[in-house]
Amino acid sequence: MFKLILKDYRTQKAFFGIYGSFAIALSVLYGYPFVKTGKLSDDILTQNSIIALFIYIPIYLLINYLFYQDYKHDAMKLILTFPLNKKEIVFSKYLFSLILLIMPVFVFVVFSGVYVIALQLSGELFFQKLITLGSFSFAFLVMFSINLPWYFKYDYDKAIYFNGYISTIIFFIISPVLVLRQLDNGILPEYLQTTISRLPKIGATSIVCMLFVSMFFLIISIRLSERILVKKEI
Amino acid sequence: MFVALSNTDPLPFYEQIKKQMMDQIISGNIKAGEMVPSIRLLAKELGISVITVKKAYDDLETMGYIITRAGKGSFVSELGAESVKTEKLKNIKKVLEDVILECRKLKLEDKEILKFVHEILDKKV
Amino acid sequence: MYQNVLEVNSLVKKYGEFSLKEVSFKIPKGYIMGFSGQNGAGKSTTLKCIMNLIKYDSGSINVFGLDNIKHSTDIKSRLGYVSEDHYFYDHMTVEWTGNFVGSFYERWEKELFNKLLNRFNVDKTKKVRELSKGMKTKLSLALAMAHMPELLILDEPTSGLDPVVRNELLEIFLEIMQSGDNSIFFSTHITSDIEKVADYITIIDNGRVVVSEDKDSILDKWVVVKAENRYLNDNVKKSLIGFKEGDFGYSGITNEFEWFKDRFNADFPEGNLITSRISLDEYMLRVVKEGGICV
Repeated sequence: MFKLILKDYRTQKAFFGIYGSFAIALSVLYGYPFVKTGKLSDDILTQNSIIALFIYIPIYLLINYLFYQDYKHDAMKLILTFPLNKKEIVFSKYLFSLILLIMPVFVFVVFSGVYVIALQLSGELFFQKLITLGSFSFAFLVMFSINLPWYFKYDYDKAIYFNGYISTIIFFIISPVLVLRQLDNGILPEYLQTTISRLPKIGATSIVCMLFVSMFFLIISIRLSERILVKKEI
Repeated sequence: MFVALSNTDPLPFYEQIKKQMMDQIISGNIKAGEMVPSIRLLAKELGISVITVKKAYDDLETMGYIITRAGKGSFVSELGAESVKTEKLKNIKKVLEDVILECRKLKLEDKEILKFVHEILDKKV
Repeated sequence: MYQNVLEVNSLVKKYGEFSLKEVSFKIPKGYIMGFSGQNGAGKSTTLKCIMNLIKYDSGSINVFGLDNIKHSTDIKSRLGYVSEDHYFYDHMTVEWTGNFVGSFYERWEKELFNKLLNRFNVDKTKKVRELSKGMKTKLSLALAMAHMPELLILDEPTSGLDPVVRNELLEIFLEIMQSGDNSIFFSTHITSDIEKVADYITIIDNGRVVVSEDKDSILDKWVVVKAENRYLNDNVKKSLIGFKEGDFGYSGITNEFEWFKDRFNADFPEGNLITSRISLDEYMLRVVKEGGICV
């Protein structure tokens, strides 16, 4: 199974190089405290959110690209002739993609630690950034859970209709909500403001809840993909 | 050893193999105790199925021409070649007896019969 | 251990208009079986059922004496499969492909793989997309053989290859069979290939098994007879299958040659018969298709 997890890396090293470097660079950058003291202004929060978005989008695109490559090389047809359990095949795909998604958070935390220690700053700014990053992780994890079974069920060219277009639309509805919730006021027109203000503000507990929710989605997604692959005919 | 299969002969392949091997064992082309090719090798060389060669070898073994020793291969059996030769000699003797009987019926003397025999031998038929 | 390396029992699979109808055959250990039939007769479908790439509706398939669904993983590690379309990562090298595929098999022998590549004349530094079709087939075969499988399942391994390469492959099959420990099951619509190497034949037509026997039993039974047209009458014609009449003589097939010879000599004492052994092609065409014989 380990080999299977590494398969995507070994066959697409070039793209990993490009996308991966980009995401890591942004994660490092994201952690850098451009403003060292004072209250967090809305501008900065918006900036942060947009950077966070730019971290996740390449990674998400990479994951989709890997599925495209699988389709192009008929990888599933090859792998199904190997002595592998179908559950292993599904699980290794999820695991690898999850590692890719979680990576920015990991890089960010590490570099935050570096900045906090090196520049002797308070952790509050970073905590806010972490929460933003966490919210995006949640959004992507949910979208990921919804998308992946489609890739197992249909060929890439059919699945991309749902996974590409519809998911993107959904995403671009959720993300602004998450971003804008953090902001106090000002940007939005009245009627949207009241709706959004009804949503709970995202704090530490919210993040933990979101984590559990995304776990839940993931488990259902894995089960579904397994069942799809077991029934699938080549 | 030499085996060549014919496509025009209506005999099945395994019969052809049997016949050719039997003839060569009796005539001494393949000597007693000599190793014959393994079933799989012969099948590959002749381009025919292993089952066919196996059938031929099984029959040859039953008739006593060859012996298969597990792990070693198949060999021409001493007894087989001998007993078949003896059998053939018996037949030849009988035929000769019949011929001589016929000659005596024609009131030929031994001397004349021998003259005929020498004539044929000299022709190197 | 197990007596039959592969056993297919009453396999049924419906595919819209086409279906496999109670396909059954078995291969004892240590033999080659050729699986023949026209294009679309159901060969690939059967093979994919055996490899558990497709689900079948009813029947059972046993490989090495084990049920092919329950023990799918175990079976796949002990058999080598070459599919009709070769699936590779084109942009990777042959050597990389070997390492990649080999990592999934416990019994993979890298040295054996390299030795096979040398034997097949496949350059291991080349990228897969630079190989010709024949080379790709040889690569697939090397990949399948290098983990010491007890059974090789090959789906149309020689199709699209020129006669020289085809012959090479058939030679290699025969070499594999020399040890007596390996078995091969290959499907093809090129009957001359089966005739050259197979011990057993299974012929499938329209999803149904028409014949499944050892090759020479079939070919020994039937004799092709030819004679001049003046030695032809209704009796003779009726006793032949796959009858063909031409300007330069007629020919037909019989499975009772001695009896036929007697009748022929009775009707035409001065007539000459030319006999020849039936080829698999002729058997499939004239006996099975035209003669409608279903053994």
